[in-house]
Amino acid sequence: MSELLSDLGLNSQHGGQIGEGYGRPKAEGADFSHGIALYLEKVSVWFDSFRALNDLSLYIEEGELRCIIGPNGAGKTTLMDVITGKTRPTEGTAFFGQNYDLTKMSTEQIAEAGIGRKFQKPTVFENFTVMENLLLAAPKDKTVKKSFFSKLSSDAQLALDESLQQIRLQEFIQKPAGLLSHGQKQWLEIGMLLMQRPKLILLDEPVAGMTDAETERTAELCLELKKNHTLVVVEHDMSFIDTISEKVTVLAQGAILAEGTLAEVQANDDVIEKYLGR
Amino acid sequence: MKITSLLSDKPYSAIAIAVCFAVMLILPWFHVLPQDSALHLSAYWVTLIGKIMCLALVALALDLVWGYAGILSLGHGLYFALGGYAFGMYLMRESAGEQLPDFMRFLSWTELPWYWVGTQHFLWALALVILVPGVIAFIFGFFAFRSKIKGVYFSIITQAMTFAAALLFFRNETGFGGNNGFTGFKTIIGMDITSASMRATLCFLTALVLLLSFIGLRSLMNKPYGRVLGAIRDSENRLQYLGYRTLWYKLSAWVLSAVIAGVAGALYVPQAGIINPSEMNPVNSIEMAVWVAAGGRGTLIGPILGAGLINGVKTYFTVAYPEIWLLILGALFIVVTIFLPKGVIGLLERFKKEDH
Repeated sequence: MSELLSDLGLNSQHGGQIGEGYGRPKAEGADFSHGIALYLEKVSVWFDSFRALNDLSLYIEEGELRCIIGPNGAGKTTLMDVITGKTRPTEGTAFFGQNYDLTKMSTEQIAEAGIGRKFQKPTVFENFTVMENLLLAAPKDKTVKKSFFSKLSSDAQLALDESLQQIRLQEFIQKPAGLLSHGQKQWLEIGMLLMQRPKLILLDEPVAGMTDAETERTAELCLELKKNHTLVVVEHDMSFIDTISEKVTVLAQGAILAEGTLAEVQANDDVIEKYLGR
Repeated sequence: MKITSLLSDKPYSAIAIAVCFAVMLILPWFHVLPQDSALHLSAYWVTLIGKIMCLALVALALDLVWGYAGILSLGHGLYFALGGYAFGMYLMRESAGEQLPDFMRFLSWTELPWYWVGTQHFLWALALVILVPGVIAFIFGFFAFRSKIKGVYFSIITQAMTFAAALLFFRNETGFGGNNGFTGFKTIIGMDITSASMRATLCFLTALVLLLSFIGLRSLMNKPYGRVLGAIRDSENRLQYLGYRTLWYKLSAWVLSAVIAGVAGALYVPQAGIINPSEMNPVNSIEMAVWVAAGGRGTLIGPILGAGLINGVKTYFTVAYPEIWLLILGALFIVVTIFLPKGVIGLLERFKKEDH
């Protein structure tokens, strides 16, 4: 019922924000005062009898670039789904900063709170130009009422310039996104995330299907993004991870197998056995 | 902003569209000329043009949800008929005067059902024309979109809805005249419905509503709202992850579309002189989708053109060669699907490109 009410807009806008309605001042955005951006504690996800995530605890520090690797079916995408509200954990808690309970928020609310997600398969609006794609992501207020008026705020203009500069698609702004190369589409999608000025960016296999040059460029982009954002990257490409990673988390069968630098986890016996192979 | 840009981005198209609308707005008044005048437009023609413009208005409404948001409705005949019935109630009350409408007396009913209360008032009838399709579209759309029903499943449900409504309206007990529906209209706000001036006025009003809806929807589609609808068609998922509550975009477009279809129905009924449950026949709704596809989806002007052309051809063939009309409609649909994926508008654009 409460979900129905919130769909009708009768419930509070930020269903997941703690403290609201208790007379406490509403925090502006996610509160990272303890230095942690993302808390996942004892998260389990059950699909019938199958445990996609099994009692998983993960903490992402603010400003960190965390790589997540693991064999197929290890639960990497389910993890992303839990963070973005697509899948509700059967057990456990998921917090964004101190104040957003992700398990109680809708996908749209989570996006508003400052978590941007790039899908595994590049998803851009193919009939729109690069510029139109970016502008779609621009407005802070994405309600229907607001969309009847067309005005680009100076803030959005700034975000547009910054975003274009980072993804280096300035010369293609009038090109339909459908005509971009695979790699350019991936960057455009990242650019759309940047337009929302997210605090945490989730990248699901950003270099899958890319050429070597594109992979290199994407690594550069990730390192640039790290300066102002917290990143979580799911990847299979070990050389790519080697270029960008500080700390790597290895998932297997829905649980954390090992955590550490790439060299450390590559030397870990469990990891070698279950993932890398001898 | 130049006035022509209200009609089209290209100046020449804008002029062509302006001329067409000017003709549609002026033509009805030729019906008022004396019968022996060489320029007199017969009652047959003025009602035919009026009716086809009503159908063009439905096509425009359908293009909003199908052409832009990618939601294919195969049940827009329902909203068209609901608007028609809402206004038909007023016409029935008007012709019945103080008595109950004829069909109720034949059923030996002694009092009006509750939902007929107030329908003798013209303004309440107009309100119902908007409210009934709007509210039903809202309720249906809210639950369908909230349950994330999409694509062909959604289309099938809209089809089932209109069929179910047709069955409901066929029953005499429902209180809408059963399979005969409403007919035998006499007056609108006291004026003779068959008079030349009333016929011309209705036809003119239809053209005016069509023009205003076209301009209104065009400017709306050029706003971020229209972009978001187009983005929903391409990838609704991505949009949600960007923070858009797509439910409200789809629902608002759906309700607006249903209301426009309802208004079209309300304009249609006094000109056709009859409304019955066959308007809710699923085949009618499918035909509406054919008009949109034939004219050119997502162009607004295309569906108007498509509805005009196909209904023009239909009028000719159902009189001249009634036995082959359905074959022609079928052939037309095949030709459009295979050779004209962007409809007549796409064809015109192709010619233009070859010129240069």
